[in-house]
Amino acid sequence: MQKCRLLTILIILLLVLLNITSLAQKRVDYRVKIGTSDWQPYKLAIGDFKTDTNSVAGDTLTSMIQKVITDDLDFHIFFDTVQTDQFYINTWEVKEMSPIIWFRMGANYLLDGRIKVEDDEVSVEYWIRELSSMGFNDLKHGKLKTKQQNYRKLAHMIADEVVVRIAAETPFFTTKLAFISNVDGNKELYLCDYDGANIVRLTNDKSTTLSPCWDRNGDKLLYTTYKRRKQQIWELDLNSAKSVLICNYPNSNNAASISPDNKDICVSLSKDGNAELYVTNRKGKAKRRLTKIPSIEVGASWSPSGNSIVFQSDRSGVPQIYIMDSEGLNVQRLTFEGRYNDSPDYSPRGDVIAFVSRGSSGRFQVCTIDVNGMNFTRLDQSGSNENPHFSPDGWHLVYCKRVGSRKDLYIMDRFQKRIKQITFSGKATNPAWQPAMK
Amino acid sequence: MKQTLIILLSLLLVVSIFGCGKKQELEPEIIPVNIDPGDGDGSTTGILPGDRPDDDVVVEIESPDFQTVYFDFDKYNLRSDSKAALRHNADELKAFPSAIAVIEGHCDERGTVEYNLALGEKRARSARDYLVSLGIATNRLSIISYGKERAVAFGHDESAWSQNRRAEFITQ
Repeated sequence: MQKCRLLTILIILLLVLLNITSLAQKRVDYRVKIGTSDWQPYKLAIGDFKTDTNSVAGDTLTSMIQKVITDDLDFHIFFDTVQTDQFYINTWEVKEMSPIIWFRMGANYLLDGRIKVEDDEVSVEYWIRELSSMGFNDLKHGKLKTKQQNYRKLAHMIADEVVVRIAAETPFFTTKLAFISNVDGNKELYLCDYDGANIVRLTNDKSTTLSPCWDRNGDKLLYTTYKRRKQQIWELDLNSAKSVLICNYPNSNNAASISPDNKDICVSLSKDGNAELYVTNRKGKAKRRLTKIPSIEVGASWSPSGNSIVFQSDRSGVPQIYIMDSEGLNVQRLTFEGRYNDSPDYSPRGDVIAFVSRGSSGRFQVCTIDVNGMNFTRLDQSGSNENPHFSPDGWHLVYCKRVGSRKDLYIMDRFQKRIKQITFSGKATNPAWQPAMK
Repeated sequence: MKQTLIILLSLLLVVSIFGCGKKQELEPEIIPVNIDPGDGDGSTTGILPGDRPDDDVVVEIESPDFQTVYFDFDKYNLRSDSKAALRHNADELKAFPSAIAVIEGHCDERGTVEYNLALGEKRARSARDYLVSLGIATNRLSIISYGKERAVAFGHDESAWSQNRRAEFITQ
């Protein structure tokens, strides 16, 4: 009798486990097909968030929160937001949107919410629902509360939760971008949200600041500066707002990239004659030299495993993209199309390298190439672009685009190629996307 | 009067050099090279830039008249006109034996920040190497690259670009 009951419990547990893994498996399979002809983004409806306050301020806040969430998910590669179908509403005399109505309008998922505004605070209760002809199944029911002025972050957190629950992907809506801007006359280091909101200046060196690179924990930034009238690499701690000198070798100290284990820096130094790649520790102490050739070697970016490094070199006579292992051996040229390929960034997924390629018009296009040198793909051919940098999930990119004399930051996704301008000063360059928060 | 002032100033300079040396040691993980321009020189003239007292001591110094050297797109080899400009700069440096020059390498806006920083350095280095071949001592020449960050012409065509691809000589 006892044994029998134990066995039943075991079988039930096993069934539950199998069921969970098969569900997860189903989602993974769906995602892997991205880029193929039968791949479809998730059809998501964003319900009309209710508010129980009858104030203008409450209504405004509700629509602003809903707009941030909609903008986030509209941009995301895995989602298409489903709009209300007016014809359907008229035909069937729909009084109120319900999960089943959204399903009939083509949505497979629904984000619904209720907003409460109290004094200087706002709280959002939300539901992420999987829809079917039979009804719906709640994937997540949550509640968030914050000061009203932080409403954008709260909205990004809900959108992040949608990405996690439905697409099972690394979310990035709450991550930041570091970039360079000369709105104040000098090139200084700045920070903004991934969508360009909340711009903050980080340095006041009154010099030239360049090439930001994130610490893998997302709380420090390496950057190149001339504040001591010499090109050096410094590290800014975002928590303490203190900067320390990292690389101060003779001549140039250029374009640092932090290794995935967060312990090393790959940097271009010309202390031994011309720009070569070296690996240093996080204090800037040189550990090993990777290249030894009279040409320019610069712009390193690590593979997610830390086993290889992609970089640019003009050893063939013009700048091209190369890959080598992290000891500097097995150098292979990746790009053969185009006379000038520059500014590589290794995808955190490990599948492709993003870079810019000079087109026949003389302008630079955003491109990707597989790590084996196949599938040279042009993603954005408008304007002239530079410094593409991957989002934490590896499916999106930020880069600087010049149109006329104006330089601004743009973000895009790799397959639907929805391009979105996120800065408007005309003076923003050199973006770097913060790694996802752990 | 003048002599005492010069002696005083020289003393001040020595103190300032020592002071700076100590400050450099305090900074974490510095490899002490290329101390900020202005710290190491001056002993030859006895004048401390920016530290001149407000009384009647005025020392006028003539400085070398350098020419800017230009380059082709994505190149750092010297054209014949570039060599002529460099020969002129070498003559200037010979005429002012105490002068020390910083050679700044610059690029046009095409290509990325990081590559252009390296290219600008190659240009500065080409200019320096040619001057050394003309008999100028290496320790009188230092190089720095600003890549495409400090343009002098702001257009987006060849006339602007050709002015920006340059090595500029600055008296230290």
